[in-house]
Amino acid sequence: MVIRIFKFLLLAYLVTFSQTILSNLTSILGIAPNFGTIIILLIALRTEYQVALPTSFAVALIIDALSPETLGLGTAVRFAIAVAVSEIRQHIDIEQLPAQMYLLIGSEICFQTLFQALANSFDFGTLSTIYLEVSLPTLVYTVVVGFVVLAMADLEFKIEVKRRGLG
Amino acid sequence: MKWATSRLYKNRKLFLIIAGLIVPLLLFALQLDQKTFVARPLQEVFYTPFWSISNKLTALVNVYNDNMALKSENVRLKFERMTFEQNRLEDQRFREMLRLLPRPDYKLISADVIAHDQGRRWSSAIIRASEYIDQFLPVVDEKGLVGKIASSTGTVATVSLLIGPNCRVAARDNQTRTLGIIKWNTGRGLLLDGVAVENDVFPGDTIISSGMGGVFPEGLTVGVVAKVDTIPTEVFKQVVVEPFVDFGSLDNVMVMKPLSGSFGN
Repeated sequence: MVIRIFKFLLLAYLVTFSQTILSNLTSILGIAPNFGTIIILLIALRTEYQVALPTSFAVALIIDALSPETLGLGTAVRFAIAVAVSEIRQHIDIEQLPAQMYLLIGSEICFQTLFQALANSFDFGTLSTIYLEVSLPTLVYTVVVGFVVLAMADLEFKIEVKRRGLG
Repeated sequence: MKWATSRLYKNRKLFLIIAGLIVPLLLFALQLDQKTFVARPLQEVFYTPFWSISNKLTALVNVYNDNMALKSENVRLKFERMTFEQNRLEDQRFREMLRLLPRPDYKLISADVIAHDQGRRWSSAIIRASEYIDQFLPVVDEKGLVGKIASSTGTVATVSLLIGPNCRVAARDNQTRTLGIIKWNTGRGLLLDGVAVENDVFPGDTIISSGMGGVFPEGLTVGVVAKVDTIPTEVFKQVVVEPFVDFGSLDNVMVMKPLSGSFGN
C-alpha cells in the first residue's frame, strides 16, 4: 500500500512537473505540448482498468487544479479518454507503436474538441479561432512529443520482453 | 444490504466510470470561489514546489537575457563614448584653430586628412574639405602653417606640406623682423634661407609668414629657430627651424580661402 501511494505521488509530481517547468521549457510561441493527454494515455495503456481509471481520474484532477475556472471539465474529458483507451485496449491489440500513435491523435482531437466546446459554451465563432490558433498547433506539437515518448516506452517494453525471454 | 454490496462489486467498473464522470462535472458546475477552494489544496501540495523552481528558472533565463542585452548596450555605449571623445577632440582642435586664426578677410574651411601620398609620406597629404577648395590656398592647423593646396578636384585636394620640397614660404623672424624663405631641409626640419650674415636671427625666435609672395597671409606661425650657424665663407646664415606643426599626426586642418578675389595664383 505504501509503495502504491509512493508510486502515485511520484506520478503526481511528474505530472505537475510536466505541467509547469517542462511546459515552460518546451513552449514555442506560447504553444506547449499537452503532456496531460500523453500521461493519461500511458496510464491507460500500461495498467489494468482497476488501476488505470482511479489513477487517471486523480491525475486529471491534479492537472485541472492548475486552472480553477475549468476545474472538473478537463478531469471529465481526460477520464472519458482513459475509459475509452482502456476499453479499446481490452478488445484490440494496440501493442504496436503506430496503433498507439493513432490512439494519441484520436485522444488529443477528442480532448481539444470536447474541452474547448464545453469551456466556450459551444460558441462556434470563438471555437474556430481557438481551434486554429491554439488547438491545432497544440495537437501537432503533442503528437510530435507523444511519438518520442511512446517510442521510448515501446523500446523499453521490447527490451524488457527480450530480457525476460518472452519475445 | 448484502445484495446491494454484491451488485456494486459486480458492476464496479460501471460504478467507477459513472462516478469518474459525474464528480468532475459537478465540480465544473460549482462557483469559481468554490472551485478555487477545491483547487487550492491540490495546488499547495503538488504545484507550489514547481512554481517556485519555475519562477527561479524564469528569473535565471531573464538574468541571462538581461546580461546579454546589457553587454550589447555596453559595447554600443563604449563605441558611442569613443565617437564623442573623437568629436570632442576634433571640436577642441577646431576651436584652437579659430582662436589662432581670427582673420576676417578669410573663410576657414574645415578639412580632414584622409591619406598621405604613397612614398612621399612627408611631402604631401590628401585632404577632404567640407566645401569646394581651389589650388594654392594655405592650409593650417591649430599649431600653425601646414602647407598649401597643390591640386584640387573639388572637395578632395593634395596638400604640399611645409616640410616637403614643393613648398616654400616667405617668412620673417617675429622678434628681429629679419626676412627669409622657409624651405625643406632634406627631411630634417626646415631652413630659413636667405638670411644675410649681418642680419640677426637667434635660437628660440619664432618664425612667421611674412605675407610676401602672395600665397600665405602674414602672421601664420611656422616654427621656432633651433640652430643658427654662420660659416665665414658663406654670405647667408644657416638657420634651422623646428616646425610647430606635428606632421606625423595631422588629422583636422583648415583651408584658408580669401573672401574676395583670387589670391595666390
